[in-house]
Amino acid sequence: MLNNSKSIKAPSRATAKWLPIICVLLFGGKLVADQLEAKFPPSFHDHVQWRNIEDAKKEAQARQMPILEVVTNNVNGEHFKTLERYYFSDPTLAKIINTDYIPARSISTNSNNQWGPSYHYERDPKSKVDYATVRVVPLDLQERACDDYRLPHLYHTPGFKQNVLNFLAENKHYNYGGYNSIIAKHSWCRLSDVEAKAKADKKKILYFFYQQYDDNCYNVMRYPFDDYDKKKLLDKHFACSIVLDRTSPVAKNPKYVNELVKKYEVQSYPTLVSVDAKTGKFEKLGGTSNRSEIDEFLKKESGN
Amino acid sequence: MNRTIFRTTLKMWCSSAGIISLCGLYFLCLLGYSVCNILFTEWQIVEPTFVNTFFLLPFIFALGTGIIGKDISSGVLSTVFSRPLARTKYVMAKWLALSVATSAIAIALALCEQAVVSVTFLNMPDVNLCSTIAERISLCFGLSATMVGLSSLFAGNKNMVVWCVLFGGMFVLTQLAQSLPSMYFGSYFSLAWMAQFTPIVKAIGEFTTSICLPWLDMTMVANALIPSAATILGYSFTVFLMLTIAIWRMNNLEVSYAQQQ
Repeated sequence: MLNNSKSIKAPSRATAKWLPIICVLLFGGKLVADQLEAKFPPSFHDHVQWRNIEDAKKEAQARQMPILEVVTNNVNGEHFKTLERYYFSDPTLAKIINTDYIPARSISTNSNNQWGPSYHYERDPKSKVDYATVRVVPLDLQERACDDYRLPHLYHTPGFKQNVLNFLAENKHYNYGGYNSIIAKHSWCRLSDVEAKAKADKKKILYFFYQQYDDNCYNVMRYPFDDYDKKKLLDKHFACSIVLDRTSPVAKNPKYVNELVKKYEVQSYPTLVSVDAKTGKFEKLGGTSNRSEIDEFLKKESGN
Repeated sequence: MNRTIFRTTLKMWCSSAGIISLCGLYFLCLLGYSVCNILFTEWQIVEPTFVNTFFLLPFIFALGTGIIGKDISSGVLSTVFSRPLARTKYVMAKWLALSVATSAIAIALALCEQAVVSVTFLNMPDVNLCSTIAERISLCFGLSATMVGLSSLFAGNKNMVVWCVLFGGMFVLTQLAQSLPSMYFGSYFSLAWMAQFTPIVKAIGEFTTSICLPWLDMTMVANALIPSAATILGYSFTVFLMLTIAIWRMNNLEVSYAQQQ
């Protein structure tokens, strides 16, 4: 009986007293590590061979290659560190960047565009917003003025490495000359000149209300404006101008942009507004990047 | 760990036609998605297009829903604990069974994807395969601990409901932390007054995230010059915390036939 009672003795329930102690130690360690990493941000194996922008321009011209430019205001900022962690420390991506592009890193306290004159807005230094933008500058655009938003930008999608591979593969040969070149596709009018030019050439005005970093707007930029076949139609019937919306927590639109938005009752982006320069009558197509809708709108407005 | 409990749990899943068919179907869907990406992409493939690690969540949910809670609600526990079995070992066996089963699925999927790429493009496996497998295993072991911990606290299948609530809360808190500095309520609350709550909301959001999705981001761990101690400690803390909760709960759970009646 005694032996039996020993054999069925219930096992101790206090076998895991060490677990809470480990938990507390781990939590304490995590808090300390968090504080330390906030003061000394972790570094990554940045395998990309960066140049400064001036050297990159010379090398790109000599080797006839596009530049992959990263514009940032703070190389120790969270945004740049994220790019470093996901892209530049990845051996596969870094190898492609080093072989297919001339990688350049430029530091800027505002997002002014060194490749063209028209786009510039100040950022409020008090807001402490750090940013890092990855963009490709094709060979033919390195010599000619272009706007920042015409350049192919990489949108950050951590965990989706194939997207980055696609971006690098797509824009590797983005510098082919002739009519396939991005800048050759459409010549834009300045907002201040577009009305006079439309009246002189007896064309309609086509405003393209554009918002940066918006996929739909980017799609409309690619079609119809960057499409070779549509260029003929647009050149023949319209004087086109871009109205860039810059609204963000730290930036506001210039007065003339707000006036246009109010005048043409723009409620969504992208919006195309076709205006008769003589009568001032307008038609608009808003919130879509659907090609057939755009085709129909342009066909109707061009009178074909 | 108790081997009998471990084996019984695995056998229970293997003998369930519903679980086998659902997991099999989902496995084939993921593999099909990956194969289509590999075969029909218009871009150059330089490495296997592994499906995102978080696509494995349904496997863990299918096996981990009610992993302990069902035993509690159905009264099986009173039979199990009538035997000379340490309750810690019961919890560990359940956790390991779930982790091992889901990890096996994750590894099998990665190997299948790699096989397709190797056959199609004659690419040999490289470091990406190892990092993908390590990342998936970390998610399987981490989330299994969460499922076991929640399942010990909530009877039946409620651990899944609680996880969903936590995940929703995490999403709301993360969005709130981002938008607080720019939320404007006129003269009632100034922007600076609102912004002071950002670190608190962010900390709670991060804690909820670590409970809901404990995993090791291998780009953070493997690509860093010095692996992030905070990431590794945070992951370990979550796993130990959830297991401690489960063991504590089991040790304080009174089960008897009399209670059932």
